[in-house]
Order: sequence, then structure tokens, then C-alpha cells
Amino acid sequence: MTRDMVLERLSTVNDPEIPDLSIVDLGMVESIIVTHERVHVTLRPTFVACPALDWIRDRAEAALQPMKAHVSYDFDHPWSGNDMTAQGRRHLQSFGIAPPQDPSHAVSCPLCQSQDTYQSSIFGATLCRSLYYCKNCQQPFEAWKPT
Amino acid sequence: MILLSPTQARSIQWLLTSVADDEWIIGHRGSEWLAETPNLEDDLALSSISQDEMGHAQLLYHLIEGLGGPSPDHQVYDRPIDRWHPAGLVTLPRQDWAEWVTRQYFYEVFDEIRRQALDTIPFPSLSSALLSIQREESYHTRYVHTQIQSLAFGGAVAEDHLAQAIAVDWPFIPSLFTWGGDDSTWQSLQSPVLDPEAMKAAFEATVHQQFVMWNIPWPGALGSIAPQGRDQCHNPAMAQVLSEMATVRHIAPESGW
Repeated sequence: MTRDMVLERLSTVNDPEIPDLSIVDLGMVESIIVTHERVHVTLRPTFVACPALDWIRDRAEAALQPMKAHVSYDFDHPWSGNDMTAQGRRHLQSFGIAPPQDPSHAVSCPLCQSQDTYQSSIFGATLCRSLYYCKNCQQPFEAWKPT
Repeated sequence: MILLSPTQARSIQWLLTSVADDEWIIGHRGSEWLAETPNLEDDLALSSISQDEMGHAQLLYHLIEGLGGPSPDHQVYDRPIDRWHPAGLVTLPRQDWAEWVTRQYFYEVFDEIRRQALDTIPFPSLSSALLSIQREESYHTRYVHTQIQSLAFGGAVAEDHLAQAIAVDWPFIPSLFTWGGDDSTWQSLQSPVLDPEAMKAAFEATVHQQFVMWNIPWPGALGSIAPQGRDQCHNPAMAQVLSEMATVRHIAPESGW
């Protein structure tokens, strides 16, 4: 199995709460080592306490079958919003979540793109999101927390 | 690559156990407020904050395991009460909401000072862990500041609750500054900022400045730091937390997280 084939398989593993956002687009894949009988994949966790980590690891190992795969997490190299791919950011936005942005800029509404928005709660339904409100289209929305 | 001496590795295990135990217990205490907070935003905040704290504890227990300590599962499920070393402050049972807000504020101020002190230890895995933890904690700090300000500027009733909450917590604050083990643990790491007295001075300076800014009366000098202060938290409240925490584990020992 080549490295590209491994990436292709890993692209089928999605964030459990955001359909179409794969762990590859999220930027979680840190390294891939392929030997003749085994694949070693190292992932970067987005948030330390993310409860989906075990679930994602199991799905990633299953996606690589029948190759024997060993998927582990590297807590030594923190993930950042910059690791997300352009496609990942588009998928996040089309799902209604503003992708991580530079905290010094206003957060754009993922529904109408207006920047006339404000944060209504630092914390949201999951560790990685905050709650916002758009004064232009008058809709609440979520934004990925910048780290 | 910096190699740690066996003495330093043991000292780091002691230090990280104090930190992880605080994070784990305050995370558990925070989770007890879920569905009981004054409004939905606080519930969302506490669910994330508590989950973060317990995740940070888990990461630190992993580092301890890497240095030759027990597994994270053993630490939280099977460790006898006299081997736990959280500060007395974080073990206090849930009472009034203002009390909880105040406790969180004091804890977050201290925790930031302690993280900066820990960051002087030349152990790369710890530095990386602290970087991840710091990014998440910055959100906690913003939240607790808004909360305590809403008490400080919330009128006479809120002010009374705040004064009462400070009076309850203030005698327990010195329990935060000690590390597990005796003084030789932090001394062997040769970083003066790890000195409990240095952390106490930094804490007093920060809180004093913020209290002036928020017009909160200063409660007076902190009490002295009791030696081995972290060995004295074996109170009924702590026993109750441990027993509740391990309930499911004891019913179904083979179950996963």
C-alpha cells in the first residue's frame, strides 16, 4: 500500500459530528509510515479532551484493513487551525460552522458571509466550538475555536 | 535531548500528580453543576471546561506513566485516598453558585501561575503538553473573568454572595501552593519559580490587582503555607467524590472509557 492509498482510505474517516469533514481535511494526519506488512499512522488530536479520539482511531484502523494498521496520537505536536485544508474549511462552512479564523478579525457568518456578528457564548455544544449570532441574517451559528 | 536524572524524574512525577489531581477533581466538581447552572450558557461552559480539565489531567497522568508511574486508569479508579494529592480548595463540596464561580476564578489564576512555573522544567513532553493545555485554558480564563465581574458589578445581593464566597475559600487558598511530597521534590528541579512562596506571592499580586480593578474589598493577607498541605485533603468530601467517580468502574470493571 502506498502513502497516497493510505491517505485516500483515511479520507473516508469523518469527524463523527460533522459529515463530509474527513480527518485528512481536518489536518489531523501527522505522519504515515508504510512497511511491507504494517501501516503506522500518527494523528494530532484537535483538543486534548476530545471524546471522539478513540472512535476516530478505531475507524481509521478499520479503514486500512486488511492491512494491519497501528494508529496513535501524538500529544507532543499540538494541532492548530492552520492544519485544516482549504477543502476542510469549505466543508465546515457549508455545514454551517465558521472555520477557525484569526482572533483579531470579525468572524464571518457561514450563512450570509456578513462580518456583522458577535460571540454569544465562548463555549458551545462541543469543546471545539463557540456560539455566535449574525446581526445581518439574524441567525445563530457556531464557529470553530481558533487555537 | 535532555536526560532527566532518576531523582528529577521522580520529582516531576510528584509535581505532575499534584497538578493532575487538582485538574481531575475540579473537573469532576464542575461536572456536578451540569443542568443545575443559572442559565444554558453556563451549562455549556461548564461542560466544556470540566471536560477540558479532566482531559488535561489524563494527559498529565500519561506523562507520569511515561516516567515510570502507574497507568492513568489506576490513578483515577484504583488509587487509595491517601495517595491522592489535590489541594483542599478543589475538594470542597458544591454549595452556592457564587461560591463555585469564585473558586473557579481563584483556581484559574493559580493554575496559570503554576503552568508558567512548570514550563521552566526542561522536559520537552511536558512543554508540549503545557502548550496544548494553555491554548484551551485561555478560554476558561476569559469565562471566569466575565463571571466574577458579573458578581462584582451585579448589585448588593451579588456583592454579598461574592464576599461570602471569598470568605469561604480564602483560608483554603494556601493549600494550592504546595506540591506533593516534601520540599526536596521541587528543589531538585532547581527552578526558583517552583517555590510555593514564589507562587503565593505571584498569586497575591495578580488577585490584588484584579480586585482593585473590580472594586472587590481585599480579604487580607493569605495564611501561611502548611508543609505537606496536599496530604491533608483526606476529608469526607474527598472520600465521597472518589467513591462516586468509581461507581461505574466497580460495577463493570471491564468497561472502556
